[in-house]
Amino acid sequence: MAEEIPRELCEDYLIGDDAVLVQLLLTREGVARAERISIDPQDVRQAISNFERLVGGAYEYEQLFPAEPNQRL
Amino acid sequence: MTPVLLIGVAFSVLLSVILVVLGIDTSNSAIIGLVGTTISLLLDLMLRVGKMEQKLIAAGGLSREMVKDPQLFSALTSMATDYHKIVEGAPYELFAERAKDVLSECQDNLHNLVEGYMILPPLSQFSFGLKGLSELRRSVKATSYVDAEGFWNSVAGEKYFQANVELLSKDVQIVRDLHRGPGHRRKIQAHHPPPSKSRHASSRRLGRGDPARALRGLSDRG
Repeated sequence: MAEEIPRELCEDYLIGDDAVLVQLLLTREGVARAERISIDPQDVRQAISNFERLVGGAYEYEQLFPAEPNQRL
Repeated sequence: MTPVLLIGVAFSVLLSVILVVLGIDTSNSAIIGLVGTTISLLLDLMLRVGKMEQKLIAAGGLSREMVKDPQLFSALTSMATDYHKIVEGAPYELFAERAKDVLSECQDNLHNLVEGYMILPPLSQFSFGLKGLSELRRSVKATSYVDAEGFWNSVAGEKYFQANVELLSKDVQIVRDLHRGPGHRRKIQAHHPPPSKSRHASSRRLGRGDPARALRGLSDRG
């Protein structure tokens, strides 16, 4: 759950092709104030490592939302 | 007057005075003082020449770069002219300060690019967005920490979502980690069976080239 996630992993980003990192820099209220695009290998490596930590401790979709009859909202 | 020259002259004068006080012939003391001053002047001159040489080398390098790139030449010339006009002739100090700030900002932004990153306001013309996303060939790993329901309900959000689906059709693997927020869940519900319970954190690995599975997992923008 979100409360269990370490603070340093609570970030909003996208890693493309394991080569580019697009990060939303947020205000305290969680509003995007800037976008940081980085191709610095060190930044990307760090983000991949954080992402792997997140995924490693995350629930699979089916665990949270077990299959139910299709119902479009 | 440079510190080297200042110290040298002061030392020479002091030395002459001390020699006179110690009873050494005045003319000899004066000559020693003058020699000291001359040495100081020579040292200062050498330092100045060294600095000038470095500036000339830098200017030469800059000239070569500018000759290679006419756009750079035009931009730097215009910047230098405008900068001097403002710094030397602006009626308000505020304008001069702003000019210095603009120049420093320009330096910083260019240097950031050399360092491999850029910082942009949200939705700037250089934002990664759809253009960057369409250039990806292998994988997308994204997290959604903020609740961006507004974004996903917007036209831009819908286009972004479709771009994700297109990526899957190109065999790009997408893994999206959803931290929290009702917006995530509603988006997922819109494309898949609704969840049985309200949960806050989830993760979904999206299979290669499997748009149906992607729709189930895709939610907020990373």
